[in-house]
Amino acid sequence: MADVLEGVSAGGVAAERDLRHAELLAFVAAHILPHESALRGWLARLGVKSGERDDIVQEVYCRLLRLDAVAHITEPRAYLFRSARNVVLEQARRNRVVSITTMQNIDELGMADSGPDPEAATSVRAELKRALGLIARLPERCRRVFEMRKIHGLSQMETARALHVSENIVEKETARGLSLVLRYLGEAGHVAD
Amino acid sequence: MSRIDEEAAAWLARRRRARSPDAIHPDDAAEARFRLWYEADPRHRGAYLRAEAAWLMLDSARGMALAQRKPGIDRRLLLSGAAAASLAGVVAVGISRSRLSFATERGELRNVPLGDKSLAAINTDSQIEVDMTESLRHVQLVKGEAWFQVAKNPDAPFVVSAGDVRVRAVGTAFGVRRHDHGADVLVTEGTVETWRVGEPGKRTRLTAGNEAFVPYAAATVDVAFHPGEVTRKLAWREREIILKEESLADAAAEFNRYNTTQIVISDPELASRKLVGGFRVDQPDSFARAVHAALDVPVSIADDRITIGVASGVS
Repeated sequence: MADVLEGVSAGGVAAERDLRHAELLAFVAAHILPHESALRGWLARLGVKSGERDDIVQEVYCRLLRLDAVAHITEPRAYLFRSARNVVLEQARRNRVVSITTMQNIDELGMADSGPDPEAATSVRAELKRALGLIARLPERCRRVFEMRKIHGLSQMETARALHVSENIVEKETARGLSLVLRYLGEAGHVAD
Repeated sequence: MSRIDEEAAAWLARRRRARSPDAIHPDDAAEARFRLWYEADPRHRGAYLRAEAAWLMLDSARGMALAQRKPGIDRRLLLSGAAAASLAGVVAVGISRSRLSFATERGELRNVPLGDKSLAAINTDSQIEVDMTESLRHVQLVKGEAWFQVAKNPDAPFVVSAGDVRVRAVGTAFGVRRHDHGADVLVTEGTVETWRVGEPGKRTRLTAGNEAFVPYAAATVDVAFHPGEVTRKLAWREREIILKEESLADAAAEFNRYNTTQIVISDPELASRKLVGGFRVDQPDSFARAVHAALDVPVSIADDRITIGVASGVS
């Protein structure tokens, strides 16, 4: 996992890792995140409890980190659901976090939700709308920080100057806002269009 | 909301605090603690990837930025086929010409980026119309007062219109306030030129520390070098009113710009008394109490009105 941590250090190996990680991030941002709320809905219908859903989703993302490339994934939504299903089954076998109802449901419910989603348009307009919608839901000060940083591309320091607050406040609002965005992304009703 | 997700968001915010939005300082002391956290649990690694992806995804919002940004900013997005398409889209959505309007309510102060790295601070009860093109950045001060920090761009002059008064800057910071008969121009950094519509040849240059009142009707422009005054008159950016031997009447008028609770001076004798002090724009009551103490005059404070001096007739 060290490739994530290499930062911007010089050298061919690190540069190659950066490139790979950047590709992975772009893939996850465009093709995985939009399906996350559907995945969580499916997990809920399986009978997986809320806290366990978080664990499973995090485990699924962790597995994405192990991929050497993402170009071969032509159906990201199906890939995501399959990966989650594997995590659920493995955890159930180890009797760790998943309740028994899950085992009964997983084959009944099958993978009905995992097909291509006509709503999941990843057009640029849809992405723009989604990003703006998420930012618009944030509380006032958070929202202004995210407008500066994400809509106008200001750095943390520039944002602090523009809003007449300290950089620490900008950092705190960034963390708070991102937490909220992560929550919104997981919520039912957050559709991919 | 998972605690791990919150931790991941906090670490990401911490690691993205560098000047460049995406640079990371691997030598930061906190980085060692991050590594410990990151390696401790696969869920941490997954949550961090998720947070990074969400952070990147929000960059789609940059398509809304008023002007196109330098190439290179979206380097990451270029890296995969799907994302390359999204970059092309951002360019298509991103508009080289844009018009935006910003307005403030009474008492409100807004700081807004103008899309080209310039910033505007908009004072109470004001309105600006921003029109950005490749060759001209034009801001119309429709009413009220604003201060501009202008990003350098020799290809696109930055011009503020206030009635028939024009103020032009290239890489500077200055304030403009509309009055009934002209506009105040207050320069905090660099140089600006000001002129009136129809008289573009008659330009007045102002540099940092200069203030000038530019009348709408033809008349000479008096320029004064008053850096302290310029700073004082722009104290509203910190939501303060600083009085330096202002008359009570002027001070009251200043507070009345910001508040629905209006200050009324009922005794004309008091109107010309001079005052010194610093106050919050939204606290006319503490100003009134200070006046009561300083001038030893009666003051009555109600929700909608503050009366200074002996109330005549109605009480």
